Amino acid sequence: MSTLVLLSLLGFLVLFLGAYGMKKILLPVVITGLAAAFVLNAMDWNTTITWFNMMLYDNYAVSFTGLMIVVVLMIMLLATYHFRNEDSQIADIYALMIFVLTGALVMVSYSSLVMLFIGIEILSIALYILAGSRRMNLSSNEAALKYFLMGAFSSGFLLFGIALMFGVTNSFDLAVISDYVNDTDEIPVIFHTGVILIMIGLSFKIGVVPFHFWTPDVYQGSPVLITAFMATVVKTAGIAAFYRLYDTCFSAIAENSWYQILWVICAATILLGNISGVLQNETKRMLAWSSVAHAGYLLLPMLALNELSASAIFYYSAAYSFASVTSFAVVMSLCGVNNELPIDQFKGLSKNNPLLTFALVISMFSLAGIPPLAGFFAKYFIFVNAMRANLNIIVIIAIVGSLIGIYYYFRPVVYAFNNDVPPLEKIRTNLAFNIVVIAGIMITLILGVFPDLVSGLPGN
Amino acid sequence: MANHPPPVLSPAISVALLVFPFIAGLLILMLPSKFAKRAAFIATLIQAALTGYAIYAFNINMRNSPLMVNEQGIVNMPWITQFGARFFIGLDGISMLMVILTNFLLPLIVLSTWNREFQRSKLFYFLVLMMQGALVGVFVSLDAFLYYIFWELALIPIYFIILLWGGENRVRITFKFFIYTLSGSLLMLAGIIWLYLQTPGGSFGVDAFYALRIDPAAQRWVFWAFFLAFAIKIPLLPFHSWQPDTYFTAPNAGTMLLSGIMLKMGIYSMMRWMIPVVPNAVLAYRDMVIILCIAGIVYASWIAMTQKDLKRIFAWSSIAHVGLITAGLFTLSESRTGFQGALIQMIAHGTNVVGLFFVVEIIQSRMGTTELDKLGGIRQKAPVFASVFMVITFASIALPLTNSFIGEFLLLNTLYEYSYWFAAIAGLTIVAGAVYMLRAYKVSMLGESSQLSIIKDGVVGIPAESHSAAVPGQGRQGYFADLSTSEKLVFFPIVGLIVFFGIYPQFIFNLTDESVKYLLSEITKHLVPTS
Repeated sequence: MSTLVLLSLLGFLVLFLGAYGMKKILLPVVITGLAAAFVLNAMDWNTTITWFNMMLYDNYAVSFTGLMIVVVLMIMLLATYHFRNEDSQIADIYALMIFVLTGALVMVSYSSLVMLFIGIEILSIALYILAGSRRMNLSSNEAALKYFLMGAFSSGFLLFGIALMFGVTNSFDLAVISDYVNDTDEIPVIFHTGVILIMIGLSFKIGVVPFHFWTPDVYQGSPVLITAFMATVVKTAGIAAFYRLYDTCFSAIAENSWYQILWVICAATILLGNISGVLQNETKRMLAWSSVAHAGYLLLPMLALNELSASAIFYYSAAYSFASVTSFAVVMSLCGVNNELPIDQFKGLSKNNPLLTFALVISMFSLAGIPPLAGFFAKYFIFVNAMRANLNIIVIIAIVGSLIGIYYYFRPVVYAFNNDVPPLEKIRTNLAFNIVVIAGIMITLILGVFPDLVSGLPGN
Repeated sequence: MANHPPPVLSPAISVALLVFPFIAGLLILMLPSKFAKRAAFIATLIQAALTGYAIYAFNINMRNSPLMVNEQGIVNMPWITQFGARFFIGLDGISMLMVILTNFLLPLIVLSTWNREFQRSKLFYFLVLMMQGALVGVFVSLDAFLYYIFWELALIPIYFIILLWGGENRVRITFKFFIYTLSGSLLMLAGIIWLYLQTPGGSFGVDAFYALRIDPAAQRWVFWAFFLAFAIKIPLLPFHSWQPDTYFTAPNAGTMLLSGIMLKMGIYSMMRWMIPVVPNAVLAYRDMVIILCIAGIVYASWIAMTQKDLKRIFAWSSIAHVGLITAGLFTLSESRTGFQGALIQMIAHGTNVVGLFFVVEIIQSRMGTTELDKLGGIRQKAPVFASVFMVITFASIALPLTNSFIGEFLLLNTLYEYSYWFAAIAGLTIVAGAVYMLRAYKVSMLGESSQLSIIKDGVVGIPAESHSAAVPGQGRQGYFADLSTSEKLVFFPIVGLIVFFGIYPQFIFNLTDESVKYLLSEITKHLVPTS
């Protein structure tokens, strides 16, 4: 709980530091603050604090919060590189990122539907601004507007669903709703409608088919750094919130209410995400479709709904987030001023910068799910979990999807080793950037070889 | 003298065998490029010495192993507790044989690149050593999950070796190769997960898999999941289309790794992970597999006879040879000739094919091409080379006293016992093999000297610039020097091995007989009566 307070204060502190022009101490303050938040968060392990029936800070929340703090820290360090030429607004960006993290924290630790909604809004509003943070750039503005409209829509669905739920159960409390579901024989249709509406709202947030249309445009238009943010923290928070609600409240009515719908969504997301990924020629668009596909994989444990689902989601989110941050870092270093990176521009990278090439290979292979990297174990974990629940058909669909995915994950790698281009200008990176890239590589490798380190984390 | 317990391979040795190549590879990455080749050679020599010690320490007669008869050097530690995967390795006779093959061929393969300067050589030798580690890993893993990791890990270095140092069209060809093999592997992964979910308590251990009694109908699904992976890797007939192009495009060292060792992974895995686990399905599909293999033999031999390029001939001949090995293996004959023949022939084929592709490397580096039309008359210029090539040619057409003879004899014998017709058709492989190999030899080595191979007066030794001439058309003209010292150091051990195993195949029998007996007994024990 103290983590939430600390993060909120940190956000305001950073705003003030920016307003008073103390740019020099900005980064140290942010890093110290996030490190402190990580420690405070870790100290809450196994304590299970409840707070006014609004928040339930259990191990599930602690694990996801810890993961997101680390990822945000990495993205913050990348920000020093990303905004190296336009430092005027960096304090605002830091502050907004911290607010997004605060919202994400609420999203993984709510025990009331109100808090879920508030968490999503805290996260979203800050993100709308971040997506438009390149004010002079047309596509950045377009992305912000699209994201805002879609986000507003999804909030509407979500709120409608929550209202229906309240109408039936007379409570926002997850425990009460769960009791209601378990004790009532004849659940009214209006409740089921609420379940589906909430599902639609959350599906918009994590960008699964058919609520994914905003993803490619927004990913492409936003500044790379913010895209990395959306692909990792937002997705992790969204799926964690999704699972928390449906596991706690609606698992008993899975069969005759939302299960089939989610099954179709999951299969369609995996297939469409991967197939569309093949067709892309712009790296960020490709990664956007890849993120759609990964959201589909993340839905598999939700279908399985067994005691290992939470661990599977956590491990998958971790593997996916670290690989994504690393790949977006590479994209960031290559992206020109016009914020575009056609895939064939990876040509000559291996000669130009071996570290970036290595990072690219590791992150793409991890996203493709090639052993012994973290991405492979994540997929494996999810497949085992699903097969335990007898979801054999969808596992086969997911395997086919992974095979298709290999095609587009390999394209940048193949181009990177193609050196028949005139030597390019040496790519310069800064220390913080290198630290992040090396950390991303190391974590992806270590999680791959020793998945035990985190695979049991969220506990039960 | 007091009764010492007989020596047994210690776990430390098996771990060292597995880990050393990876460590050596990482060290090479840190060295300056100019030492990479030498360091890699020394590393593979150390690994070979380690293997030598393992052979000495290996106790064939051990009977009290908790696992398969003489499984030793066992390490069994928890690894991923979440889903019961363990770090579980050990060697029985068959694993030992495969490790010997890998680790004794690797120094030769590294040495075969001695005269060639690779760009980014550090990376090249790192990948080669990583490949070695992964291959050893496949052969010593006793946990299906660990095994799968190494199986996939072996694919990555060879993919990059071909992608970065391969010939024309390498991007397209490596991609096909990668997707092809990976799709097979993913099916196998699904099979492994399914088996794991069947084991009581959830285990990937080979012992747990062997203890399973699976319903015969379900066995068929698992069979296909495994068989496709192996059939693609080996490759067997309808799944072979990646192979000729990949072999042709790969740098010769890569081709040696692929054909000499990597395809043996598939055959080994059939013995270890498929046949004893799903015996009913194996028996049910036995005829189908053997027919596929024999069709592959005939087809590949036919194509090999029509090829105009030395490297492509050898690539197709490889398909024919492994077809015979798999056919013999699948007879599952109780006299053990099928298994034994397959094992001997795996070693023989591994040795010979490395020799053959080194012949390709030498011709390619000297003349810039391997097209038969442009070769000829090399024997006059390079008699030592021609003699060595002749020995290897004889070995690959299975002349008596060469290593392949005994293997092919056993394989045909077991096929004969199984079915007269199968043996008669498969026997064509020897005739056809003689046709295309002798043709290749005759056209390239004998006859009129082609323009490319006329020696210049007074030029002795090999100038450095001629070695890097791997690009077709850029070979130094009018010049063909005989073998240099480093090339002799590759060829003479190969010739030695050909003759040694031709005369004394008993070494392989002794090493593997108990394990083969055990595997066959597992099959009969595990046959689930059809209800």
